[in-house]
Parts: sequence; structure tokens; C-alpha cells
Amino acid sequence: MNKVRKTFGTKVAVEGIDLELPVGSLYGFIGPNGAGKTTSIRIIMSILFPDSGELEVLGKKSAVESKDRIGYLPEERGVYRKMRVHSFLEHMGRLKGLDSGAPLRKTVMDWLERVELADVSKKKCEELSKGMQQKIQFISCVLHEPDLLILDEPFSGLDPVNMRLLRDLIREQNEAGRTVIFSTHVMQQAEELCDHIVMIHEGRKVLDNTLGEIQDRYDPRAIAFASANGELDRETVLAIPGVSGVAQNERGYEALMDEGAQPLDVLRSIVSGLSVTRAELRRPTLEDVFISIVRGEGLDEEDARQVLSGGAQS
Amino acid sequence: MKKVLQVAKREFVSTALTKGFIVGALILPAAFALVMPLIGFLFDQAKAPAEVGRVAIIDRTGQLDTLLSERLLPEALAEARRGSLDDLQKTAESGATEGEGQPDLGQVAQVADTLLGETPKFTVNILDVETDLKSAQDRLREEPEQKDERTLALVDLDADAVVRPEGQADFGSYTLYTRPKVDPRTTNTIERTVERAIKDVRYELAGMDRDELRRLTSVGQRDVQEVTETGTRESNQILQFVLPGAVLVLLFMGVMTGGQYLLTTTVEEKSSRVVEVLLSAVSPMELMFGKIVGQMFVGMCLLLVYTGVGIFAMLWFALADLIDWTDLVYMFIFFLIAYTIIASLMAAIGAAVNEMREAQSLMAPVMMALVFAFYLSFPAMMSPSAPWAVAMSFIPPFSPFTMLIRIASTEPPPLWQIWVSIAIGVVTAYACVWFAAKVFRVGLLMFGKPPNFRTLVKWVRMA
Repeated sequence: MNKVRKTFGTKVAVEGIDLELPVGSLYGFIGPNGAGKTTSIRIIMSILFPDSGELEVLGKKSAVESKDRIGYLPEERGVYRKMRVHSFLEHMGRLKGLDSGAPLRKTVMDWLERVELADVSKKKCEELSKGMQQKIQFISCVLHEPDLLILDEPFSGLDPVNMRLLRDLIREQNEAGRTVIFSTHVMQQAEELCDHIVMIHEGRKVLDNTLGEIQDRYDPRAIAFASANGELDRETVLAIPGVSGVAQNERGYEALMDEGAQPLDVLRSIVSGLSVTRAELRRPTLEDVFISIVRGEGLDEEDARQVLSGGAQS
Repeated sequence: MKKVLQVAKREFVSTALTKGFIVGALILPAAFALVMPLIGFLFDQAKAPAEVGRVAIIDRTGQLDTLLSERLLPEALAEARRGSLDDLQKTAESGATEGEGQPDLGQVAQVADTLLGETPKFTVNILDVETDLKSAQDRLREEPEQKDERTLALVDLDADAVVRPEGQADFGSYTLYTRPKVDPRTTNTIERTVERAIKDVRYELAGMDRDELRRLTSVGQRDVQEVTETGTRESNQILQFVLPGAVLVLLFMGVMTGGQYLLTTTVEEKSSRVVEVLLSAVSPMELMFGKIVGQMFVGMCLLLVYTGVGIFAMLWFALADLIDWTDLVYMFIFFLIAYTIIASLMAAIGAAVNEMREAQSLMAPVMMALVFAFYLSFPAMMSPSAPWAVAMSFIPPFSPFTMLIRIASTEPPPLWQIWVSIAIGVVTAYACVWFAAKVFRVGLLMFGKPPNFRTLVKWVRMA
């Protein structure tokens, strides 16, 4: 994507997004609801067309020319309610360019077995639970072994067991060499799965980096710990070499480190010098990163958290 | 193309191979066709039972009492019916074409029995002319235990019914009073008998021969013969109007069914949110064309079934020479034009709205145009060359219907008019598909407030 812009009436949905995805990567599109993730994905899929900017998908000018090489699970997804599960999947396979017949039927059945839904293959889609339908929809977008997999909020509505199953399947697809883009407004999901993060806020890309680099860049240089003796004297913590500050939160304390301090040394000193039940090197979450970015735009933390939890809608 | 056909296949299968469609569109009419002969059979069995009771007569002429007493007796009534049948037979014999079988009197008598019911069993009760009319009428309300003792009717004959008073142009008549809910066929028998008796006495008094008069005033009816290239044939004027009408109904039904289903399935795809999944595999154009083609096959399936049944029926009744195969080809062409126009608009409406309820207001003008086109074509059957009919046969969506009627009419239009009409139809269909494609592309992913016509135009500009 090169300087892609899309407006709906007076509302700017996507503003000048540049993005390049290497083959075989697993990219997470994160951002609050209404940030522009779905619009960006629809533009990549050529379901929407940008007002300006350029686009290249799998070496073609638009996804229309390579639809059969893309698997897409939209955010607004559904099934043909009256269709039987296997017929629906075979229909989708045919639309994705697969030939009908025994091989397609076998692929469908293999997939249904993998997601433990083989016994519902002859049921009508409307008879399935929402979670089951979601798994069927996932199968419909990987049946044809696409080169690029685009999943828009794939985990919404899933229970933890199915969420893990889907996460494993996505990882497996990526390990098989497929490029995966998935969007979520739950940043923790992106942390668990992605090796590269693109953060979108109010239609603009505000972050585009690997997870490791992001964590390094936004490293708070702090050690989180909980005291075994309840309330701690602030001065005692500050007396530990390498500690420049201390903050208290609902889970315990955070000791901020000096510029040159070695995290491991400080951690050892805390464990040996204080009576603690838990001590760990604090890593920045994507939520922290997001809050840090929007605070840089003038929002205070509370407003930033509100934006993150969906307070701002487009 | 493969994807278009796959979408079309799903569309056809999910519509035409459902119980609802098979029962509604195919089995119900088939069942109706089966029930029709059954109704005929039951009607045959349903002869009215012989009506039993008295007929009271106040004869103010003084010349009809004896005659009516005789003629209203069961034997006389049966004799009169046979006499009428004899007359029918004679008329038929005089009118029959050479080489054709003579009508069977037995069959005709059977039909007459069915239509008129069994011969009533009347007893005649002549009342004195001084009888009070009110008390005579009261007898009609009495309910005696014995059925044959009840009075069914009272005939009050005017004094001048058979003799014209001096200086008057017209004769008098009679009044018939009946019990409530008397079988109309019984009333009819009494009326005919009384009228005939009055006429016969009038003829006699005027010195005329009744039979001779009847012969003089009747002309044998012969069938109209059409002279065709292969010889003469009996003209079936009723079928000449029924067939184009049937073709119109078929065309309307095919277009309406396909269009309606297209709207429903599009709205369903949108409301069930399966549409974006589809758009990841096919372009909006492929989806729309696939759907239009799929439902076109549904409409054609109906058309073929009904046309097939019609042709079979005509072959069965040896009316094959009335089938004009060119008309059927034109029906097919005009179906494609009318269907494409309506279906593309329906697809656009389906894509624009979120649920069926919202589709009503946008659908109304399209449906009205279709219904108008259908009904306004019927008058064209009677005057196929009237300027308005000619004009309508060039303006879609009226043209497919009106032109088809003109082609099937007694005054077919010149060939160039047919092809100009087809060309205009094709161009209009193309324009509708173009418009629909734009609305379809934008509308499919638009949710929220249902659009009005102005919004649709905006979408067309946007796309």
C-alpha cells in the first residue's frame, strides 16, 4: 500500500497508509474499534477502492486478479443458513477456483475432522452454534491453500478453547509459508500471535514494527514486584542500587531503573533485599504502547484507555 | 465465467430444488390440473334431485288452465325436454359439415340432464280467479309434513296475457311467485313452460301454425371455417384469444417469479452477512450476473414446464395446428428481455436494503410497472394495431408484453417492428444491468438507513 487514502463522505477512514508485507510474515493490524482496520483490509481485498494511492497485492495491481490466492475471513461474516455445511464449503471451494468432485469433498471432510466438526457436515448451517459457524467460515478461507490469509477479528465470539484451536491453526498456516494478516482490537491477541505489528489510529498508521523492536523501544525499564509484608517503605526501595524511582499500583510495586542499570542485577537485589512474593522484569504490552502513542498526541491516559476500549467509534 | 456459473448453480439449486418451490410452483398447478377433471366428474354426478311439490295457478285469461295442467305434469315436461333436444338434433344435422360425425342425442340428453337437473315432479293446483292473492302467496310459506304437499310456486297470469286488449300494442304477462330457495332450474322450467303455453295460445288465436313459425324463425348455426394453406379447418375463436392470453400469463409469471426470488436471495445474503465472504471470492459483477442467470433458469424452468404442459394438452386434444412455434421463440426472446430488466432492478434493490421490509417502497414502482405492462397488454389483444398498442410495443417494460400480444394477434406487426422492439428492449436491459451493477457494488456493503431513489442515483455516480 502506498499513500492509500479513503473517505466516506466527510469522514476520512484511511489517511495515507504506507505498508509493505514480506512474504511469509504474520502481521497483526491492531487499533481500537473504528480506527480504520477493516477499511484497510477491504481496500487490500479490492472490496473497497481507495480515493488515492497505489496498491499491489501478490504482485498484481489489485486483489481482484489474485482472489483465488487469497483467503479472507471478514469481520461481517455469515453463512448460507439453509445450506448444508459440506455444500457450503464445497460451494466456497468452487468459488475459489477448486474443481468439484471427490478431491474437493475429501479436502472439506479432512478440514471438518481437524476442527472436530465432521459430525455436523450434513447439518444445515443455521443449526450450528456461532462458534461452530466461525470455524466453518475459517475453513472456507483456507480450503484453497491461499498464499495470503486475511483474517478480520477472527477470535471475536469464540470461547477460550476454540480461540486456542484457531490460534494454532493460524500459526500452522503461517508456518506453512503463508503470509497472514489479522486484525484485532484486543491487543493481547496480537501479542500472543504476531511477529509484526501495524497499529492504526484514526485512519493513520502510528506503528509498524516487529514485536521485539516495539518492546525494546517502549521498554519501561521497570521491575514489577509484590511485597510479602504489605506496605513497603519507599526509601528502602530507592536504596537498592540502580533504582531511580518507585510506583505503586493495584498489583504491587514497580521499581524504575537508572539509565545504565543492568535489569538482572536490579532484579537480584530486589529479590534478596526485600521480602517479595513475585518479581519480574516489566515488558511493555501493546496496550501500554498504544496508550503511550496516543498520549503523545495530547490525550491523557484515561482518554487513551477509553479510545482503546472502543469509546471512539468511526 | 466458471464462478458466474457456480453462483448461478447455487442460486438455481437453492431456489428451484426446495420443497416450497416444487410444491408452490409445480405441484399445486399440477394438482389443480388434476382436480379440474375431478370437479367436472363431480359436477356430472351432481344432478339436481327431482323437485317435488305443487304449482298453483291463477288463470285470469281463462284459456291456459287446462294447457298448463297438462304441460306441467312430469311426463309432459320430460316430453318437452325431448322435443327441445330433437330440435337441437335437427339444427345440428342441418349444420354439420360433410364427413363429420353426427352429434349423439344420448350425450346431448345427458348434458341437458346435468344442466337442467332431473325432470321436476309437479302437481298442478288451479286456483279460482277470485282467490285472494295474499292468501295464495301465504301457501308458499307453509311447511306441510308431506314434501309433495308444499306449494313451490304460484303463477298469476294477467287477464290480457293471450288476448291483446283493444287499442294496446302489447300483451299482458304473468307473475311468478316462488318459495324461498327454490332451485333456479325448477323456476326456469316453470317459466319456460308458462311462456311456451302463452305463446302457443297466442299463435292459435292468431291462426298461425306453431311449428311452421319455429322453423321460420330459426337459422341453423354452422361452425366458422378457416381457410388455411393445408385446407379448411374449424375456427376456434375462443382459443385464438385464450392462447395469447396464456402466453402473457406465462411471461408475467416467469418474470415475476425470477425477479421476486432474486430480490429475496440478495436480501438474505446481505442480512446474513455472507455477502462479504462471497465478495472475497467473486467480484460484485460476477455475483450479480451469476444470481441473475440462476434465477433466469428458475423462471425458464417454470416457463418450460407450463409451456410443455400446454403443448402436451393441445397435442392431446388434437389442437396442434393452433400452436405457432415462431410465437414460442418470440416468447422466449421477450422473456429474456423482460426478465433481465426486472431482475437487474430487483438485484439492485436487494443489494441496497437491509431486510425485505425495507425493500417494499423501492420495489413498488418496479412491480407496478410490471403489473401495468401485463394488464395493459390485454386490450391490445382486441385492437393490436391501435396507435397506442403500437407505441406501447416499443416502450419497455410494456414492449415485451404488448409486442408478444400483437405478434399472436390476428393482425401481426411487420417484422421490422418486432426487431426494433427487441433492439430497444436489449438496449434497455443493458442500461438496467449497468445501473444495477453500480448500485449492487456500492449497496452490498452498506448497512444502516435504507436508501431512497436519490441515494441510489448517488451510489451510481460514486461507483
